[in-house]
Amino acid sequence: MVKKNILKRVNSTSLFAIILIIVNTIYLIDGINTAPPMTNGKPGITFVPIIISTLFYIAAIYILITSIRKESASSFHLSEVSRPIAVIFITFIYILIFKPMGYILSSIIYVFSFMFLLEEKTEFKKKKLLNIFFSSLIVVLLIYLLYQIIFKVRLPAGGVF
Amino acid sequence: MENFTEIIQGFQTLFIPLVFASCSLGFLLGAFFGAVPGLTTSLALALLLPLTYGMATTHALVMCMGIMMAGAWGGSITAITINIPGAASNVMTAVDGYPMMLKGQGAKALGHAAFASMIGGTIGTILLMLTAPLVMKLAFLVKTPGKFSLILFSLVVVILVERKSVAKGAVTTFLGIMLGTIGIDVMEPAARFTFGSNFLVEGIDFLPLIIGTFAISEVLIQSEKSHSEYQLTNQEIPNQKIRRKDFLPSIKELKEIGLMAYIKGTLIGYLIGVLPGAGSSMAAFVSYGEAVRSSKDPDKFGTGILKGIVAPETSNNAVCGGALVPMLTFGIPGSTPAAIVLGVLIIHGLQPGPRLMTTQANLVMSMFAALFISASVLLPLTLWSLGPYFMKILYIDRKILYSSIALVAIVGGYVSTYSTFQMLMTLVIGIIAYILRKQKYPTVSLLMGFILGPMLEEYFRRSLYLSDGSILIFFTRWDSIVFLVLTVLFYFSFALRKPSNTKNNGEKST
Repeated sequence: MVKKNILKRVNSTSLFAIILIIVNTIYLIDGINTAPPMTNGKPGITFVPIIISTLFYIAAIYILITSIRKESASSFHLSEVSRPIAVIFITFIYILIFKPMGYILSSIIYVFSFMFLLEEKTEFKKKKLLNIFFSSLIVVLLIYLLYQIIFKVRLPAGGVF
Repeated sequence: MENFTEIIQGFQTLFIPLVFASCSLGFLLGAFFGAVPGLTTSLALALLLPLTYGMATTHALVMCMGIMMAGAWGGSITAITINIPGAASNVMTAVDGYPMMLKGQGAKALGHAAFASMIGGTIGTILLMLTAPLVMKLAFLVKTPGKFSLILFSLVVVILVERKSVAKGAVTTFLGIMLGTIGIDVMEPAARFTFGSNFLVEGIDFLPLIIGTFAISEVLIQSEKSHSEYQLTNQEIPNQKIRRKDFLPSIKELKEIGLMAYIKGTLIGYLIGVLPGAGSSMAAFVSYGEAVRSSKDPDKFGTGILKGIVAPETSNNAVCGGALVPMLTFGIPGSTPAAIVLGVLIIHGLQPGPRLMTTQANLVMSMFAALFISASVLLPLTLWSLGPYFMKILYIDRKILYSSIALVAIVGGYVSTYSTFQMLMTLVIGIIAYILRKQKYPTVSLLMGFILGPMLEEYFRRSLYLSDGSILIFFTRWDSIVFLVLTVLFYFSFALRKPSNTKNNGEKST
């Protein structure tokens, strides 16, 4: 039971603080390798970033220590973020197909998938899917109208349209 | 006298039909985004940002002003009617507004909230019109070391206003500064922190940062709930008829509230608005706390009294005026919406600073005029015409709403540079902001760090170049000393004081 709970809780305040410290270390190493902080007694291009990185360590380590001391560190369940992860995935795919397929076709696929994700899985019927499809079509065309026609923003036509 | 003529010209510009239509459209958008729980003023402005590429600067800015003013008020509608504030700045409005709704006085509460917002917004804008030209003149006296100390003061304020966790506020502020260091250096033609990627040489654009932080992260947060889970909350809406005639506050009620309540709330809101990053929710909490403290019957607060609605609603609308003072004079935003408006200025090639008032007087004055008309005319007009139908907003199809937001946001990331890399950057920043929000890190300070970081670095290095590397320059110039003293005073008066219980009360009640 305890093991199951540990597996469910994939993140926590302390774990996130550790990730932040790792990211900060990568940033600091890149800064040190780029240029010395001082040149001819004056601050160079990495002087302020190194100071900020040092201050970042202090704040992140403070969060890490206090979160370890506290019994109820904030955490989130994997089940809670499953739908956001799916949204991230379809958004990533949308970005990949945006230029090759063009705005209209790629956006219809994206908005349809997005609406499909927000819908309850038990409710899927042919009529419902058609409803989602036509809603996606209207949303995509309205936003096309807004960007391309009203505000004259050029959107990719792709190979299809 | 010269300023008065400029103000009149600002109003003349605003009354050009297309400009006024932009302001009105912005107001309606702001009211909608403010009223729907989960949608915020910042989100509305973030989504508008990519569209401003195709708009005239004046149209874009007056639209932003409409959104700002309406957004600060719109959240009170759902705060009063269903006890779910549309925005954090309306949390305190629910404390007394919702009990009034339960007593069958929902329309009266909505009317008083709108009236208080109108007073706060209007007086706040008048104060802005009076003080901004003076502050701009004073801003000329602040030289490079003084500018560094001012930015330092602003960053300290941004960190310290996160009373719940100063360390988390500090981390996100530093993270924002670090993101701002990616790309070409602020003073030398050298690339840094590109991690070997050619795409990062140009740095992170303002647009993906704002859209990612406010739009994408919100879409991800909202996607946690399914459509049916959301519908359950709508079943709890009280079935109460909202009639137009009940919106009008009576003379007796206004006397009972007292003029001082309106003035105090407005002044608190305006002054907190001037503080960088403090924003309207802090103003509402402080104003409500002050109303309770100075009341003869503090126990009545929370039971459904009008003073409990007036205090937060005057202050959160007065913030709109206050937040523009540091933004226009120094490029330091006083609130998150002001930070996004700063983005609109930058996109249109305008540099905020003391010269803006002289070089773009008409533009600045039309912004002020838009704020004024939004508060004094559009706000009561919107309540009167659309008030009885506001409850319908809650029945909007969530799938359509959030898929539209997601599409506008992601495509918005593309339009800044017509590159899919910026779309990807928008998504990545959105994911980072989502994780930060899940971990209860403030994302406002991320944006503030990103805006203020490059300025801090530039003024710091320029000052040291002037003094041949001696940091004494910051302690020998009077303009710098003033802001360093202010920083120390702020630290001792704010950080060392324990947070009041008002905030907790408010959170319990909602």
